[in-house]
Amino acid sequence: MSTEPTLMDWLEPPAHGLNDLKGKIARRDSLKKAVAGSAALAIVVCTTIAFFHDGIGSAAPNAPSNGEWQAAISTRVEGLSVINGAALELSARDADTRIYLVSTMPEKPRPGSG
Amino acid sequence: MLDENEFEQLYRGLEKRLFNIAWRWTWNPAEAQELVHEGFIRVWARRAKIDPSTAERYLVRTLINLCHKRARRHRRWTRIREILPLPQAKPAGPEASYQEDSLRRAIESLPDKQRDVLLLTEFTDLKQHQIGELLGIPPGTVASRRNTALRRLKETMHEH
Repeated sequence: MSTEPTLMDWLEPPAHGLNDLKGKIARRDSLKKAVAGSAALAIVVCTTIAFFHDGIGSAAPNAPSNGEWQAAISTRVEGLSVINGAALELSARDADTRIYLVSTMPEKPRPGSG
Repeated sequence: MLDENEFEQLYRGLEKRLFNIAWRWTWNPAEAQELVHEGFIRVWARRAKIDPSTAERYLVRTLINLCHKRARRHRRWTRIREILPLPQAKPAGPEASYQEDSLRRAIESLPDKQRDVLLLTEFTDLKQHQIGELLGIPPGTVASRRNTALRRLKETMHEH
């Protein structure tokens, strides 16, 4: 017979352990799906924005060159600015905003028009 | 590939054993169950890659890792409590007998490696060589660590 000490008696785990575990797994699965869904939505939104950005910036018939585009869209406004004759009052919060206005862009001559 | 039935069987077969191991790391039934469940959740998440014949060992290994991680965090927190003027943890309730308390202190005083071997030999059906494989040590080392752990336990218990 062994004279080694035993490590106390066996303890019973809390009841309903399997059901609790299933609940935890289900909650994690649904959380994962929600996160995956959000990520997929974000990808769709980004892809759409990129598509339209490319469409306006380079694929459109009258699209300006990159330099023109940047010069036009990066118009930095501070305080009171005038764009295309229209006075825009900008609050201090907007002072650092870059204005993206397609209407301010110089028009590129159509091929064969000039 | 581990299917749902096999997973449930695995849980029913191992829950009590793993709980008893985890309890001797946490000394708290809710935390022990949390660790056991976390181990099973990880197995479930990797069920497509897990061979049912090795699932038990994978699970035990995962649980040991979780217990070690929890113990490291607990020790760090204990050191912080010693340094900072935070309220002290509540003493054990009256239900904790003197013998339980001293046994707990004795187990706590064991190095992690000896504690692993002792708990695995006490609370799993794993053979010495399987425990050795699990911990990455030869079977002879399993036996010697177990003997050392038991000797230290006896000594510590006699001291108190």
